Amino acid sequence: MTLLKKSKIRRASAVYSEDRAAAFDPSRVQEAMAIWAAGRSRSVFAPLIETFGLLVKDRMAVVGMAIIATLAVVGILGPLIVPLPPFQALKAPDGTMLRLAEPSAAHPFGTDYFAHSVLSQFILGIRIAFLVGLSAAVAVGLISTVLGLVSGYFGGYLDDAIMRIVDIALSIPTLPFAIIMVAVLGPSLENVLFVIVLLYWRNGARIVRSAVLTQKERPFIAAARALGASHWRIMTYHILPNVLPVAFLWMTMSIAFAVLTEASLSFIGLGDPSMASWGQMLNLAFQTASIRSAWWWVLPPSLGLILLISSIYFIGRAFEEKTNPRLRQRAA
Amino acid sequence: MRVYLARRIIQSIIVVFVMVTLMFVIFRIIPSDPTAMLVERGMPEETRQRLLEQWGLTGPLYVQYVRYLTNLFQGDFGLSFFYSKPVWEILAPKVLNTLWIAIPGLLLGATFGSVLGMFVGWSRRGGAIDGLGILLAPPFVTGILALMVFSGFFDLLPGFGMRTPGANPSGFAATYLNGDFLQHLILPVAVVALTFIPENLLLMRTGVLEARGEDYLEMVRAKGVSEFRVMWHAGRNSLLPVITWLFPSLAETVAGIVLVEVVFSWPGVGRELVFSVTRQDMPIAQAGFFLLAVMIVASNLLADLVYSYLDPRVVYK
Amino acid sequence: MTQQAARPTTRKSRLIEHLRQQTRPGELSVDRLRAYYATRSGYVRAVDDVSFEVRPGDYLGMVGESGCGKTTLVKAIFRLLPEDAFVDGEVRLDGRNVLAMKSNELRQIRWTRMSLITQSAMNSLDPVYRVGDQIVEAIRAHGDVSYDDAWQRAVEMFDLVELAPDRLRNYPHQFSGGMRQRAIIALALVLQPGLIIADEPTTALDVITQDQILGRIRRIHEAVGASMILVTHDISVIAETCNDTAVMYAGKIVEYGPTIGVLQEPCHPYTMGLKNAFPNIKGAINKLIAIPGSPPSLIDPPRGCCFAERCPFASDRCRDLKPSLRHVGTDHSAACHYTDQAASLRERAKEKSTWDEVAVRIGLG
Repeated sequence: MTLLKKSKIRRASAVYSEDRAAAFDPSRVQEAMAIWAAGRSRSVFAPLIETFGLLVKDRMAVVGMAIIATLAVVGILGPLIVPLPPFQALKAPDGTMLRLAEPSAAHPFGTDYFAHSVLSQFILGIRIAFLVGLSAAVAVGLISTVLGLVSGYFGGYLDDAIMRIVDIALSIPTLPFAIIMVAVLGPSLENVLFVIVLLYWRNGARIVRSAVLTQKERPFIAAARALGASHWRIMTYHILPNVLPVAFLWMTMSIAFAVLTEASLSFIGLGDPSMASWGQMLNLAFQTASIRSAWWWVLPPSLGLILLISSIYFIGRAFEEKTNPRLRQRAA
Repeated sequence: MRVYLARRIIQSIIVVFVMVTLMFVIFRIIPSDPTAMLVERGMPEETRQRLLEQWGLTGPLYVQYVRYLTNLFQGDFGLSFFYSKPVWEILAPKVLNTLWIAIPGLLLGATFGSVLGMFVGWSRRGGAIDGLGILLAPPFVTGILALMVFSGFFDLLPGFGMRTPGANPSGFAATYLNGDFLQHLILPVAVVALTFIPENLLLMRTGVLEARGEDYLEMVRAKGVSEFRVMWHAGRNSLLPVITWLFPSLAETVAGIVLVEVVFSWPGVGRELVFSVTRQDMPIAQAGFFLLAVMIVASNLLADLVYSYLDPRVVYK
Repeated sequence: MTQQAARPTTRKSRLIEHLRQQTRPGELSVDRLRAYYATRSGYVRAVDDVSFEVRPGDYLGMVGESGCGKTTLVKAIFRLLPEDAFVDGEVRLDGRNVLAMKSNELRQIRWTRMSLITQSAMNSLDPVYRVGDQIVEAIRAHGDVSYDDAWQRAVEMFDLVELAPDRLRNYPHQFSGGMRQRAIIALALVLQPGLIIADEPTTALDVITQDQILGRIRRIHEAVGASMILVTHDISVIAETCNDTAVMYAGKIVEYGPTIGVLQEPCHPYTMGLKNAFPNIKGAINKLIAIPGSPPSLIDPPRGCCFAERCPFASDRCRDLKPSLRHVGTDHSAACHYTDQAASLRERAKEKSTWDEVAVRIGLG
């Protein structure tokens, strides 16, 4: 084995025997080291960065990312550009309340039934959407990844038990459950987030688990075990990096699901009334029977939702296409 | 085959059971007082207790649970707090209404979506679909936009309820089999179909894209059949993965149906569920949830049946 | 057992007679055919300037190792290559150039004038359709035939290959390998094509079934009279069945002629090497001699003879100049600069040491 320097071998074996004083055949160590070296990733984030590089090649994914970036910028800079507070009743020059005013130079998105600026609400809605989306995604990602890793890696009864729970949990219809939970707990942002996380870890755990299962079969894992690596090290150092892209994909999709669910709940009237999320805006429009007439009130939150969710979807789809070799183009 | 079916049915029953228990637990641990609906502020304690007994809310939890289950088996969902009538009486007609938009909507969406997906997946460009964004909107957004356009701007179709207000028909035929009802049916069904199309389309597209490279397609083409038939082969082979992925996502479609019902004020189970929650009407909320869950479990079961019919290989395992 | 065999034979022989009358043996003329696959690193010259003929009723065998372009050749003839492949030359079936046909015409002649028996029947039959339906599909694609009539015809075809008619209702995965292959043969015959191409029809099968299938194909050729092309990597198979042989290497035909001539007196070193690789049970016990090395890259082919790298007799001339096919006998040609020394080269090729030298030269010793 001229591939590995002696010093590297010594250093690596030292690392592994730290973890476990396993009795193994010294003559096969080199062989194991070679397999292990060939398989492992250079760094924890390597596969992730690789995937991102692939992503930017897809036109629609780039469009999606551009849209999201634009929304983010508007959301952050918004209040600086449009100083009108979202919940202040605006008055016309003659002193009356400016209800349901059509778009004009002064109020580019018009006002709603309560004489609030639609534009300001829209901007606030961006922030809420991002807040909900990102926090839910992070929470879901963490839970799914941990559960998926543990379940997939250890297998056996633990795996069975977790998967049974997941299966049953998956049969619970999403929105009805969300409705009842929020009704029971009370309509606030934290509760909505709680419910969303409760609902979306199910699929994520499954997805991560199957990715873990594929990784487990790879020879370099067996080599690492032979070299005396502990379960913890294998899980975090070897399997996790390769599973991260999939987990990341699920997190991306959960952003969309989270925004969708929050919007749906708000629309029904179970959202946090103190926040002007897009769903809430549409709820108010609906309640005040202004849908048919006040298009300026309806369109911005609708388009916002559509754009945000589509962008995330494009990114997710591009990701899936790049990583699924069977989808690559076969002409005619 | 029968063993497989039996196993699936038992699984479904377990799931339903779990959900029923879940409902029970959730409603009993809520911080707010379920009787707030019933009880007026100044009522004396004994009257309140008697009311509680009447509604079955007394006694230790496990007793309540047993009573709850036995009632459920007998089809007794209890009395609605809001309507003061048996829950089943309130919900039964609404189930039918929901099915009226659910079944046609889903069928239409599945058919359109699959066929479109097949064409898209087969086309030269390898199925790059850009304009799909509009269909990815949350169901209520599509609903609202549809309402705005067809009912607001163009005033073509009614967007409220099941019939023109004022009419009060009775009996099945009078209620459902007339032009007024059909007119009111169009928009909700169309929106449900629209929400269901993207998923179908994408799954079918992926399936066809994958199938495109298969060997047997070459053979089919070598036989001298039309390009359309070759595509059909690809589609038929993709049907399986599509269905595998599709029916589990039915749970999401129920969400869409609930929202559509709210947007169009369609008197179905979903809308009732939403109302019951805001009214703190616990029995209806429970029952509504139960019914929706049962519908989903039933459709999943159906899906498995269809699946085993479509893939001859599964049956012979 | 003999009793049972007697009855189907008369019905079968009537069928065969009917087929023979209906079959108009096809004439295939391939002229300077090139077929390149497009890849990111450049064009893969899978078929590079191939010309041959199949006269009506002939049985041509094409032999070569895997990757030499045989399957691409077949696909090129049928126009089943990917859209971005580069195809050039002429493929004249009964006088009409298949490569220049419009899709309508192409669809018409497919299966009615030429049909295909493929390599791996498991992958050639659609797994979600019944076998009978797939045969019916071929029939109804080419004529206004009712479903029942088409099904009847399929029954007759199955009869021909000795498969029970109720098997038509089965799905492909319910057939054994040999049975599937028979079904494919039935499918190939169903519209009485004039030309049948069998592309490695026995590769995935065990030797006994291989023998049966090959025998069946040969008997069909004799009985029905259609022209046939058998593509294989197994030279002993060709020796048994075909009257003409073409040897392919790296996308080109390196030797071509009547089977007897090509196999008994090969004039190209590659053919000589191939002969060695297949054991002769009747002959003396010799060590198996394999040709060392592997075929050259098809993306960037060598300047001279494509076999020069592995040839024990290669000279500088071979490496610089591409040899063209030249006559070495009646209808027998080989693409080698040294065909005049063929006899002595043949003797040397039988020695293991000759090839060992090549191995050393390549660096595999």
